Amino acid sequence: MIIRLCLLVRPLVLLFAVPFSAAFPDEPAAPPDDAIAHVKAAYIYNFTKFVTWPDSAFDDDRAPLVVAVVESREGACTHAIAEEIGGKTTPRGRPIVVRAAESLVAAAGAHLVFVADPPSIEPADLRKAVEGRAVLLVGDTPGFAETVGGIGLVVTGNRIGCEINARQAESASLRLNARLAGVARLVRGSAPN
Amino acid sequence: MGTSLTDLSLEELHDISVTTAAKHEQPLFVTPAATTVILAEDIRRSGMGSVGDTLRLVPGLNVAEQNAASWAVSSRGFNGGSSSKMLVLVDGRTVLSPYDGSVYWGDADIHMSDLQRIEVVRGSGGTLWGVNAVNGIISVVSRDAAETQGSLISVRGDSIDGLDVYARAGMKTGREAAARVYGRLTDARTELGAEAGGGTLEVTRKRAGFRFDLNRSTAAHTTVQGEFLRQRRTLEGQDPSATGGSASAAVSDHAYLLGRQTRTFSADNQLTVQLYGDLRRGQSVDNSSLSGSGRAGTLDKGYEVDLDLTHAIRVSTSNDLVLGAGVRHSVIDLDSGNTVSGLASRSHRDTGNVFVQDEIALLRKGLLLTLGSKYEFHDHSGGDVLPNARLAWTPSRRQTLWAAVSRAARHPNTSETGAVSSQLPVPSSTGASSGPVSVAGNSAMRSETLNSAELGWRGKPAAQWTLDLVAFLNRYSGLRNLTAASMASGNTAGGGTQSGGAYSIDNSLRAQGEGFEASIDWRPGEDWRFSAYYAYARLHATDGAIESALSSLDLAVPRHTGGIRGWWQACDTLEVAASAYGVSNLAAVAVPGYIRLDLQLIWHPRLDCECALGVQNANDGQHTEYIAGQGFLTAPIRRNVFARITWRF
Repeated sequence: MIIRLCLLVRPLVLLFAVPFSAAFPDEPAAPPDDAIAHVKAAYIYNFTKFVTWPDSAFDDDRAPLVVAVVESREGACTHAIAEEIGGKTTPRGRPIVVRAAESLVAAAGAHLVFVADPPSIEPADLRKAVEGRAVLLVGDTPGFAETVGGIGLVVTGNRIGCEINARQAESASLRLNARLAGVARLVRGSAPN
Repeated sequence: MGTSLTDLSLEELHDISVTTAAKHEQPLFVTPAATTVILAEDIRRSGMGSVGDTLRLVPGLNVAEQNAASWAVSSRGFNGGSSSKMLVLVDGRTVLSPYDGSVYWGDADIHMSDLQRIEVVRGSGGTLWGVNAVNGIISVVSRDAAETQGSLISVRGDSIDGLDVYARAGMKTGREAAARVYGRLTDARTELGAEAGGGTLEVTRKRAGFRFDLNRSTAAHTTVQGEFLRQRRTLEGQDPSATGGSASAAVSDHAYLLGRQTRTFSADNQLTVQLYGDLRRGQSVDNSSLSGSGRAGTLDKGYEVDLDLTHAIRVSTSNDLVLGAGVRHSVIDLDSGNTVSGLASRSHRDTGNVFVQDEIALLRKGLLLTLGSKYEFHDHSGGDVLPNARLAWTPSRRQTLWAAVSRAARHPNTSETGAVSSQLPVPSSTGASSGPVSVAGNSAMRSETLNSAELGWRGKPAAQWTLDLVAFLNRYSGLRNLTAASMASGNTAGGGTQSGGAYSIDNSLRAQGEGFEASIDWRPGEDWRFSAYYAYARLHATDGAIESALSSLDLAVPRHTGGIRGWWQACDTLEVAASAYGVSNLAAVAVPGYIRLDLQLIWHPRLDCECALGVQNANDGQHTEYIAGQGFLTAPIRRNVFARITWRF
């Protein structure tokens, strides 16, 4: 058997040697950040469909749903999110407004706060900033849903998945659609209350 | 691309790869092939309990349930029980028996909770997928271990089938590594009808497995997975003359280990290496008709080692090259209980392949030409060249027109070429029971080949609508043909009664098939989804005399198949699903047509808990989907009420 396999493998090795040696660069590729940002933006748009905010979170029936993006980089995520979902509406007909926020204070009044990687904000400060308000926190730092709450977006290989801390979201008076559970890992909060 | 990212459903978004989103991989909408992707959510909503049943969702596939553990699945004809012209893969691993080409459905049955997707390509795909990808490819893909973190328990009970209990634990094993371990018990019981000799067939499967994934950013992805499966099939209370044996039990073990690494050197340069080993041990007791496919003849011991390399590289802005190679070594042992000659037999197979395919963006906008070929070497039947040429034109984001010509081949399997005779069920066109017969292997058997032409159109007239049309013309040559050598009754050396006489096998048949498939998907809102399909197919011999009904069965194809599905999410916690499937009769082998209606209610009392209640075949007390008796352990499909609860913690 071994001899037979060797005979079969030998021409394959020769076939691959040439293209491999010519094709492989020395350094591995960086992740396609732009594509990742756009997929994350599409996720955020879906969250506006499958999370229900209480009526009291809005001034009136026509008030917009405000998405605030807090990020350390120069507006890369804000730009992608604004491009993908700015001007769209929620299933209840509310226009979605996307705005950049330099700080948590500047994000006040938003219904969904996306904390993009990696602002130097402590989890405790994030939780405190939205305490008692109907705000969905979304972040893309590792362990976000567990340490902060809300929804964490996680890059796994070539795909982007999400983690949901349902307890934290429900304590913020948000109602989550069961479809979210179908695509997410459910986590419990590890943060002290 | 036909849609923007925000047009994708939550489930599609979860399934999309970042490279696809960056338009570096070919999205489905512009693929020049009849391709369908079924996501885990589709399966959950369908209420189907197994991968075999789930394939009913695919337009143009003919899925015939033989019993609770076996299906005959085909595309565009050739549903001769072994699905031998369909290539079935699970996470890149072939699950076809090297003995008779039948599908190990037990291997393919990944639990719904761990399924990422099922990709189905109708039509030939020999250039990329190799031999056996003649009439279609079914690729079952499980989820990355990182996506199955936490614990899960799922229990399903069926009023006529039995029980399915699944438990899984997912864990982080490092900053970039994750693993899951699982165990599953399925017990499926089928009351066989009088045509199949009566009695009860019970199939119990116990399995334990794991999957480990190491994701180093997007630069390298390593997967190691394995499973051990023990299957016990018992057949009690059956009339022995129906299957040619005195029924009892069969136990078989299967284990596999697979490793795969994908290295992404740049967005345009990716290498995948995959190695797996498969080990099988079947222990037949008394009755040889208890094989994996419900057919006579079984593999008693065997192993398979397979190595594959695939390299995808963008050589210029208009050229995407995929090239690869693979080798496979298979050994099978048959013991005296499974061969008419009474001699133990060992045979081995070596195959190897090399392929190259280039995707060329032509000068005119939206025009994509794909040219490629594979050379596959088989130590028994020699080499086959499997070329294809595909042209896709996407004039706008709303439509793609494509055409393809291709050649595919199926290597003869051991039961066809072996020096010893095998017992095969050979049905009678009159429906009269004949029992399994002796079929002498023919060492001169060569590959069956297909030359195929396809024309397709995919349209998206509005964001909520997707339409898909495919027409095909298939010309087969060198098809296997069974010819009666003698019709005298006799006794097999294994002790069974050989009541149908002896047959010889050769490549004397030619045939032509033609037809079309149409499907439509409509999503009027986030909470609604409807889809429907219709397929028309014809297959007829053009040369060679058909002397056995097994050859007739090979060529039997339901002229009409159709399906319609609807799903509605009534509120955040309640879903309702309904579906109907219709298949016309198989006149050549006297199997009547049928319509089947399924209903399901899904309730989520909490985000981490799902309860489902459903009824399958609601409109019909019972019907038969495949030829019964004459060596086939086919059972009538009865109305089935099921309940399922899944809890994640």
